[in-house]
Amino acid sequence: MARLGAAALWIALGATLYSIGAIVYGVVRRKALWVESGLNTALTPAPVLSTALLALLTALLTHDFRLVYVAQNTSLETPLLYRVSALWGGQAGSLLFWTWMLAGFAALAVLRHRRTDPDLIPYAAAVLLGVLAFFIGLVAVLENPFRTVDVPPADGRGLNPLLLDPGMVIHPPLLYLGFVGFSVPYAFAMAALLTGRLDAGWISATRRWTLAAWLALGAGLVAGGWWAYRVLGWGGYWGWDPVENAALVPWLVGTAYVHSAVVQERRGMFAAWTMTLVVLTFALAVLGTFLTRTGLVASVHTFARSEIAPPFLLFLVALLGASFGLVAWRWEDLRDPSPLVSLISREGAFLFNNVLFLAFAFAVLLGTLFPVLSEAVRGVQVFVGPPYFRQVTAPQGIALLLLMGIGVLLPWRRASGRALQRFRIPVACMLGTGIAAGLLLQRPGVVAALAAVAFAASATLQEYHRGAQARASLGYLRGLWQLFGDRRRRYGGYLAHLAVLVMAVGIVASHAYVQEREVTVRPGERFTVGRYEITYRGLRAGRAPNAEAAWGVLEVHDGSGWVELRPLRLYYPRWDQPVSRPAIRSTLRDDLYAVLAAFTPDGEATLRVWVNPMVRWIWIGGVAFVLGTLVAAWPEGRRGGVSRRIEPVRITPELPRPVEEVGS
Amino acid sequence: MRWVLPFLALLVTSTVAAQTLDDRVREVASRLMCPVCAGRTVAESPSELAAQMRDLIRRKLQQGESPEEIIAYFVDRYGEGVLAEPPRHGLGTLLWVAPLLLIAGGAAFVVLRFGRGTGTTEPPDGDEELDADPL
Repeated sequence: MARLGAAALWIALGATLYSIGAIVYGVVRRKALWVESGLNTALTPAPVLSTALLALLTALLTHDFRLVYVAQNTSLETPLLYRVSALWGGQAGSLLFWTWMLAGFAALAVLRHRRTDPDLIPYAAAVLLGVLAFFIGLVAVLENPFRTVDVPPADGRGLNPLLLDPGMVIHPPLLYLGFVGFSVPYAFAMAALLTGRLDAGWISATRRWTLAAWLALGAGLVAGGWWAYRVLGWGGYWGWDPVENAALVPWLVGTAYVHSAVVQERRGMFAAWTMTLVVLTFALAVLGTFLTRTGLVASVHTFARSEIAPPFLLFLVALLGASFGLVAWRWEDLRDPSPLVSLISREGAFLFNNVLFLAFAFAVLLGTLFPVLSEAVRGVQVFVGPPYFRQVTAPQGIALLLLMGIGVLLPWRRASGRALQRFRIPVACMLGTGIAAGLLLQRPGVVAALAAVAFAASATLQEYHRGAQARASLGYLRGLWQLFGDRRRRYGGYLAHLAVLVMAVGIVASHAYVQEREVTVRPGERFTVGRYEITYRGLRAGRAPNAEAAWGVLEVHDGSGWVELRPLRLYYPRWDQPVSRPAIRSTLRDDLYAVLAAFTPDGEATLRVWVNPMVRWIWIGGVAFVLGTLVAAWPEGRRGGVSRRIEPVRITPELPRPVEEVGS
Repeated sequence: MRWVLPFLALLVTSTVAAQTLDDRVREVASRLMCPVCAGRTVAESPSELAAQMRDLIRRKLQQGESPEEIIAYFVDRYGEGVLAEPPRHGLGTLLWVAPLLLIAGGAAFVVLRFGRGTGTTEPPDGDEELDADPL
């Protein structure tokens, strides 16, 4: 198996290099046959790398401990599901997985766009394959998961117990799907620059790729939070840990890109800017992979020791240099043909949205890299912990919520007095909520956030109402339904907006009103946390797979009824580390989150108990976000997915307009 | 509507409840990093040492020490690395100033570049409504 896998890596590398060579030669010499040959070969790395991946999977499933990777990440007792997920559980495996996905995307892109975008595809394929060649080389030379030892150990070490959770099975593949997915829009952007076809064609062609990547990354972030919450046992779901940040930053810039792309498609504006954003998004996705994989942020020293750090860094510099070099080369052609008519317009709101998303991403990136900077400059290791991130990102988050409402309300081009009237109800909602919240809750940050949520939510709902009214001939409800039929992109996008608002409420509430207690109790003792009265009934012990388990039995009364919670403490002899598994009782109002922190043989237990308000809203919002984005990305059957860009020509008011477009 | 006021008053008084000792411990602990575990604050960390530190914070608060004094005490013992947030001077200023500059710069750029230039190509009023509707 090891030989087969290793051989497959080299074959894939050979095919990739040949393909790049053939395409470049064919394009330069204008020999169509060479280009065709190159594009055909571009389909081969995917099946070849699938063979490598299957070889590694077989080794994992059959406990082939001759492979160092298998021995390090699984043991004889590792359950089937986690032997499969060990494929991406360790460094070498996850890089192979990344590379395999990229090869698959490259092949799919060639298949899908060969006919529809014949001018762009050779260039885009060459760019994708160039990135692919780098990654295959990295896996084959420096991080080969097929490395073997002559004398295999009798048993492996097993997967890190913290990774034994369904959240960890889906979280990394989703993130990788997102990271890798952005390579396709990036490659098409480069193709547009190289060919000089700088209209919105490349954006329309890759719109669904972009949304899929962006969605996967977003869903991956939520899944990661869900895993952290249920497994790590520190009471929260987002620790602003460097690895989490590394995935958040490309998502934020990707969000700016998704919005900016809408403007370019619809209005033919912001071409250079959109280009810049897609380059940044992909570069940050590569940086994200790199940060998680090299330990850069743990310390400069582990970084210097990492074998893959120098090639990664070089690759990143080359990627940025080449991309922005191309943007600079085409700068004159990237100028917008139609000027921005007014800042008080939807385009204007999108611009400010972009500035804020970038600043948000920059602050997170700066905070993440600051320890490295400080160590390099002052020689002092400092931490940049959650307080920094919360203080810096909270105001930006609130501003973004406000802009979400403003952008929805403003028309394209320029807002007339009539358009501004649409602000009346949302502003009233904002003021009403602000005053009510101001009276009830003393925290200005929370009040501002809730007012912003009320504004954006009412603005969005009002848009649905207006849309349904414009289709009143169908009847209100059918009109509303029709919005998802013929205006799926916009109204599906608004669903994603509403989902984000639901999440925002959960995030604000769970940060602002968390209550926590740490108690040491004997069986039969009783204590209260928030509205819960908890009786500790004693300690039980037993066995779990690979581990010894102890759990406390808690009787929880909340005034109306009672439930039993069992926070676990697991000890994995193989890893010599105890792990706490929290017990959570979740309702829409709040979560009771109990952790067994320590215990003595006579049954005394130290418990940490949190009351986390409205955390469930975050998971519900997360699911709704996925569904809303899927609606927006769903093919628009009737119109054949043709983008409805508004040409920057004047339509004289006398012209009869199609019924649907008569608005407000 | 007369019933609303007492109701509101009730809610207000019930939420203004003074900060408990638990909250204050949490506040101080979340400003310190646990020295033995990667990337967790003392408030969150499940480690033994963090538990002891929380205990110490509680006792110091009970003795009337201010949060600042307690933080200074820990910095004295463990060095600057124990702070969850770098000090706001020297290089640390960069953390706070740079994002602000980016926002201010970005907004200024947008306004200066696009703020005027509506000029003469402005469409007559009413025209813009063409796409104001639920497209």
